Amino acid sequence: MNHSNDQLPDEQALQRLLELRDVDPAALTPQDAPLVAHLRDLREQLNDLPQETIDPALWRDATAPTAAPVESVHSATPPWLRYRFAAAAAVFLVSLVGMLALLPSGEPVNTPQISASAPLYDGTALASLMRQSRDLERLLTGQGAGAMQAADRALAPALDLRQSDATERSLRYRLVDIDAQIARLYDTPKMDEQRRLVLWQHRVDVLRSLVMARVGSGDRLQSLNSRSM
Amino acid sequence: MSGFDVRLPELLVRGVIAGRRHDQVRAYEVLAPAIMTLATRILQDRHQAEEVVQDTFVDVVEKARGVRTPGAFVGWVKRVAVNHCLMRLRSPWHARREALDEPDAETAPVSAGGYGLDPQSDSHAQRTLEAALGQLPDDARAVLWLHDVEGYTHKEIGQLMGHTTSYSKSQLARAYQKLLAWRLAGERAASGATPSRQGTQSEPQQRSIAGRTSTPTPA
Repeated sequence: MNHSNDQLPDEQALQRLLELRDVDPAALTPQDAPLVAHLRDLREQLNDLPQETIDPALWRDATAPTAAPVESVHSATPPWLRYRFAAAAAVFLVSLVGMLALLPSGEPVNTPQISASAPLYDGTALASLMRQSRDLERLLTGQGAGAMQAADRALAPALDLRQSDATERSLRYRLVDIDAQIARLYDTPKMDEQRRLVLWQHRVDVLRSLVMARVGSGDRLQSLNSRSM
Repeated sequence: MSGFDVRLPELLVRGVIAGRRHDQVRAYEVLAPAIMTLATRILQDRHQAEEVVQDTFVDVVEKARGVRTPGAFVGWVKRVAVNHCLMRLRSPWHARREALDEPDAETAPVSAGGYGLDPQSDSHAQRTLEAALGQLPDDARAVLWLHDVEGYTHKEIGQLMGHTTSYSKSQLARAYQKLLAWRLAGERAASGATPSRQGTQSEPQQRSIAGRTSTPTPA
């Protein structure tokens, strides 16, 4: 890392001197001292450079992007027109609901898709999920029909936790958690039907995983038994 | 001294985090000059620096609620500002503009005596240093400012720039190499010698600085 005396210190030499300046000043030798003093002096000069001023109007510009969309939406439509739009939308919705209610029941109705992003609450789907849930629980507990009243209420799974392995145990804890969430839904003044559907779907999924885990462990047990025999 | 070496009242920071307009304005008043200084020094372009101030405060307004500890707020703002600066340095637009703005040998500022000011005055020294900063390569200048003024470590700078710690060290050494050359040129010009153009030190100037150096021992 030597550098001759007729040129500026090379990059490596400077790196070492900067280390002496910043990290290890105790290791500074008298030979290095003058140049390290130069480096210190330069650092001080950099720190003494005056602060830049700024145009106070920049704040308005800085906040404009966040404030603009809200303001523009409101300012684009005059208030009297906004109320008319809202009233028209309400009338349309009420007539649509009325028409659907007046249709003869029992026949399949082709309900138009109102919004693809927000699926409508469907009582049939919920009933189907409850049925699936009940069937899966029967399968797991080995009990007959009527043993589990899995109607529209939360059920603490009457499953035996003693013999379960880690996967099964974690699935059962999830099931307990889902049941608790379903139970809490009933406590709310206005039940969120969509959320209820989602929770029941989760319940069915977890129960299905439990059945699969049980089948898997049964297979393993069977193969162990056959091997030992 | 870094303009970010300020301590904002906790109540004010909590107000900014909560999205209170009045507190946002006060935080802007305190921190905007620091951001402007940081961005001007790194980008060497006042217009881009103003954009950095704007973008940083848009982030402050929109994302400050993510700051968990009020004590970390100023550091967070500084980091956001640094990131905006580095993003601009990396942008192809910046690279293209830099290529166009490359100073030629005839128009490049001389190291000293070229500003019509008293070479002994602070103002002259500052303008010379600012001019020298402007002549540094982008990364070297950014590392120099972040390390020596803003107090970032080489490791932090390496992470911010997407490079290694040694890259940061090497850029700092490169920046000082050029600054020392400038300084020497300035000293010589002040003492009556013909001012030399930056980056082209004559042999006597090189000897002058080398006279102060020792032969470093291997690390």
